[in-house]
Amino acid sequence: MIFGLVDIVSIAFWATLLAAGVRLAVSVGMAALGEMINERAGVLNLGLEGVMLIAGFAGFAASFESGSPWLGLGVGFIIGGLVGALFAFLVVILRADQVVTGLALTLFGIAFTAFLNREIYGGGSTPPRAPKPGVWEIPILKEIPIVGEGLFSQSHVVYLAILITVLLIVYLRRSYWTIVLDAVGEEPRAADAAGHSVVAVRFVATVVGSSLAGLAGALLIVGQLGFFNTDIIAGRGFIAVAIVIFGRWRPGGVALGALLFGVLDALQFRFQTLDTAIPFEFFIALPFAVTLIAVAFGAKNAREPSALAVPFFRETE
Amino acid sequence: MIVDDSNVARDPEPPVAGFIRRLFHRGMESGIAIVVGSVVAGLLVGAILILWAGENPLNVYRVIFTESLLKGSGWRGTLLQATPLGIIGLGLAFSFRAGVWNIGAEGQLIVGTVAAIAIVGAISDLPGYIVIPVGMLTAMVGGAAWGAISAYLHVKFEVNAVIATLLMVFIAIPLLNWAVRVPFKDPASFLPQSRTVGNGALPEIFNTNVHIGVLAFFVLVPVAAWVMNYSRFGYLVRGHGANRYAVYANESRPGRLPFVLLALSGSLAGAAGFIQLAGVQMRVGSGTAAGFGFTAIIVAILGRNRPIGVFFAAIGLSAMLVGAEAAQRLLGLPVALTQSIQPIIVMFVVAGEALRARALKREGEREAAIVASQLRSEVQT
Repeated sequence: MIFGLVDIVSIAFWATLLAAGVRLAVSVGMAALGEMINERAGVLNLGLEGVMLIAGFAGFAASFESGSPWLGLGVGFIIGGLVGALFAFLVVILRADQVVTGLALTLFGIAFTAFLNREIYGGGSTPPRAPKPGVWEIPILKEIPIVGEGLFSQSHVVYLAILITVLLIVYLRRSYWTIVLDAVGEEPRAADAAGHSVVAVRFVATVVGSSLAGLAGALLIVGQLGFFNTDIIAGRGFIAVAIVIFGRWRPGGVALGALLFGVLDALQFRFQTLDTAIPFEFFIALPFAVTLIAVAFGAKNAREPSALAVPFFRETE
Repeated sequence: MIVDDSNVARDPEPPVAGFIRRLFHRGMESGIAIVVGSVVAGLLVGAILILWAGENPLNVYRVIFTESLLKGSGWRGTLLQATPLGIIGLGLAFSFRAGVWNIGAEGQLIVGTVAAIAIVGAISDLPGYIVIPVGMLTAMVGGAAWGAISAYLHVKFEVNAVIATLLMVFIAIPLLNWAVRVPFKDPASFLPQSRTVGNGALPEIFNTNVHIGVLAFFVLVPVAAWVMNYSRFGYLVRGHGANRYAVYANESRPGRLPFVLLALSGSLAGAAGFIQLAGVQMRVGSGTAAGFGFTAIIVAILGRNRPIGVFFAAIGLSAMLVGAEAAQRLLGLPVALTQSIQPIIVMFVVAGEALRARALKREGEREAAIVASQLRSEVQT
């Protein structure tokens, strides 16, 4: 107990905590960014978990068979987009109910990847391992106290994720397509009147969002774990949906939410080994409670896109 | 679409053909045809997967069917699994029918079960006729309370119901893990699990190896069907689903019905949790919920949010799962394969519903155009 207290106040503790937090934030953060894009167009994808599993499994298979984790990440990205296209076909073109279709996709992803894993890789308790991308330690920067270890001594996939996140934040800040995306998600009738095809924008946004979710699944399974197991995403897809709300549909907020989540997750792992008064389960539940409270008090001034999960019908149809 | 063809002369029809024709029309009208078609389509997709796995689909489906419904041990298992699925599904059917998306039944079941074991674990030496009602009531209150938290956030703070119910699941899961690890852990066990329910175990129905909870499910179905179709509450539920503002304007305070429905479906999830605990599992462990809360969503959707439909969907899905276990045992075909067919069926159903809604809309517009043109010609003459 006393050792635990000493540990908590030291700089080394916070440095390793932040490093672990960044690692744990990478996958959920990427999935949340993808979900944010399709939600801003008005498409709620509760099938995120399923997309991550299917794309992650495909990525793992590619990585395992070819020996190249980078190929695995690419395959994850592409398969994520393909599954997203199927989902978009159902909910954007046929206008099937988004909540039910999304949940069905998640349940399908869990069962289907478990089936494939069993058929192809035996599905045993010691799964085959694929090679992982290397670690890149940036010489001088990693010496910076506290943040150095977290930001500059990580696996290649972490830098890839940070790069994509920064590019998205910059791009979504001032681009023409951001305005179109928001118009379609907030006021589809106006977007339609302005000459934008609501269906086309939503379809593309859903495919792009799912591609990022697929990449997120591959980042975790191919880039960080190097093996596949049944239900390996374990709720991270739903966590990503929560992070989007927490981040109030802004890329910066979503990235921050993912980081907060990662750090809490890391804290939870630390607390499992320490015998403290606060049970470690508290830290597993905390991010969800924080998100719920944040949503409750933010709901009045920063609500979800007005047309979220509402199918669009042109009056002429 | 009902067409008045009573004064149209028709060839006399043999009674059997007439029955089939009426059944077909009835099916098309109520949308059962969509569910039946989706099940067939889902099984066809499943057949492709089974072929790929190197088995004969017909043989696999025969095994699933006979092992789950024809053999004694099979239908017992089917009934035992259908009971929690169906009871949760009934609550969800009310909720969904009113357009209130409670997708957090898993969490409500967990909290109900934890609440029940907290009380039952302490009084398990008392006679069963005290322990069982107390446990059942606690579970229902626990589930309802968890649903009510989501309802409060949904109604007072305008949080989307999907979000409010889903996030509570992820708070319930660590709560369960903590409950069986620390406060309600069986001191005699090395595993994180609770004490047994003791005298709280549900009695068997005669010597059938099936506990009395199954009977509760069978009684609940017609009651729920009556409430849905003939009571004022059911009327409000259906009205809320069709146009909630009409209900708010004339019948019920805004937000009241969503609150009641989330608490009600939560209490039924809690009840299902207790039945599963006291009828099958006997103690609470970290795997207690086992996805019943999520599978019950499929049950409600396939049952088209109607109690009778939920009954058949619960039996059907449960039989598929029990049969799948037999297929794994006898043929080595993974259970996961059958589990992946179920969501495929759901996707066919929602796609079919969407197409039907569009067709109905077109038909309605065409008829409106005809009526309008008739009115115009009447005005002109």
